[in-house]
This record gives sequence, C-alpha cells and structure tokens, in this order.
Amino acid sequence: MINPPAFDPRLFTDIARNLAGQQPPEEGRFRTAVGRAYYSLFLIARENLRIRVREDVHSAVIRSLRAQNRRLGDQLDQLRHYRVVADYELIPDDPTKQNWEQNWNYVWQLATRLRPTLEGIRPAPARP
Amino acid sequence: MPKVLPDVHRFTDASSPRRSIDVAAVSESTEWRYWPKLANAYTVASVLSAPWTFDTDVSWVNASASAQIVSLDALRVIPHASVDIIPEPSFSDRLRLLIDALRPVLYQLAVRRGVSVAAVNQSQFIDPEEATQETVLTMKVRLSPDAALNYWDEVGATVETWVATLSPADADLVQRHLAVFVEPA
Repeated sequence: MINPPAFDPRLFTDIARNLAGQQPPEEGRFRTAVGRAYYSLFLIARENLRIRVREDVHSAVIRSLRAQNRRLGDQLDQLRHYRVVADYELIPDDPTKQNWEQNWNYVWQLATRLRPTLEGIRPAPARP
Repeated sequence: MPKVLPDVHRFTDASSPRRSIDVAAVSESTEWRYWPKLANAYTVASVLSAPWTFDTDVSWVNASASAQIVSLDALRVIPHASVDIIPEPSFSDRLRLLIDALRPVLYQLAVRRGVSVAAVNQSQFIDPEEATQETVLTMKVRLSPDAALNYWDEVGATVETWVATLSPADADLVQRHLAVFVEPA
C-alpha cells in the first residue's frame, strides 16, 4: 500500500494568516491562528530535527533547538506559550496578553522571522 | 495523587485583580508545596496556621504567581478543593541559583548595548499537555517589537556563551527548565 504524500506543515502558516486577516476581526480566529502558526513551526522543526518521541515532544523539540541555537529554542517556546494561552485561558492570566489582535500581530512577526531558519535546520551531528 | 484538603483560600493582588494565588490551608506540614490547578493559577504555599501566615518563602510564591503581590485580600474560600500535592522539585533551588547568576549577565549586556530594561519578570510555565515545567525569565525592554527581536539575537548568544561555562548537569538543567524571553515593554 502506498502512503499518501505527507502534509506540508507550512500550509498551516497560510491558513493562520488567512484566518487572522478575515473581517471583522474576531478573537476566536486570532486564537486559532496563533495555534496554527505555532504548530506550523513546531512540525517543521520536529521533522527537520527528526525527533520521533511522542511523549513531551514539544519540550523535546525546544530542547533540541536550544542545544543548537538558544534563541531559536526560546522563540519557539514563546510561541508555544502563546498557543497554550490561546487554547486554554479563556481570560489570559497575563494582563498584557488579553488583546488577541495584538497577540496575533506579535506571533506573526515572530513566526515570520523564525520560519526560514527552522526550514534550514538539521539534526545536530552526533558527538564522538 | 490528588488529595482533598480542608479548604483553599484565594488571595488577589488588590492592584491587579486578575493576579491571584491560592493558598492551601493545612496544619500538619509546612514543607509541602501545593500546586492546585485552579483558574490556571499556580498555587504555591505552605500555610503555618490560622491566622493565615505565609512562610519565609513568600518571594517564591510571588515569583510563581508572576506578580508582586502588593496587598492580599481574601476573596472567597473554595471548600474541599482537590489538588495534586507535589514536593518542591529537587532542582528548583539549584535553578534559582543559576538564575541569580544569569541576571547580572543579562543586565551587563543591556548596559553595553544601551538597551533600557523596564523589568525582568520571573514566572512558571507548565504545559497542560506535557509533564515538564519551566521557569521563564522575561526581559521587558524599551524597544520597538522589531528592535526587541533583534536584541533577542544578542541575548540568545549571550545565554549560549554563559551556558557553555556551566557544568554539564547545570547546563542540562538550564536547557530543560529555563526559558529566556525578550519582549518590548
């Protein structure tokens, strides 16, 4: 049996941008867009780093990125935090994160910067 | 394991009503840390006895609530709350020392680069879908969003250099359990 072609996680970025750009602005769309933007980058990183664990996989990807480039790992981690707020906190605990259009704009800016680097990342060479 | 406690008191920062901490009331122990997941507040306390008194670790309570608790007013009592009781992770004291060592490194970088730091906030993050937890150090800088992201490049490189000076065990602790963010103030 032939497997179907793998889903391209970059499409999540396009979906996120389209969703967030719809009028009128709506919190639910911004929240969903934040989640899709994070998952797009998370999946790109996971695939390029060839991380296959299932348990605590988000932390594993972030840790692996930090080992190669601290800033990259922390920035993906920050997107993860936004995604958790988007999906779990009906009123964000952090008062500075209660404006969803503002959250989305920041997430989009960060995601746009991160994506090219994550697309080029490879697993760290094995230590001798 | 979840355990039923007699009651949990919620305290709220009067200057910022959304910031709150929950305090588990117990009498038999002052050594436990209680982390009920109530209203997404990380609850940390060991309460000595009535009248309710925080132990000496109140600064840690504040840090975990990501807020400077200015004044506390009991708002309500949640009876018979079910909470998970977890002893304070053994790494936390070590991580705290490492964070204390990192802070001046970050401030020195800001001074060298002429970046105005509005605040460095410390908070706890637990991904509800994973078993890991992090301490988050967030540098709030007086820069535009774009400039703050550029500055993050430098902060990341500085943290990387600092991590390289640590023992393998400490470096692993920092990579697993410490996040350093830069945000425009």
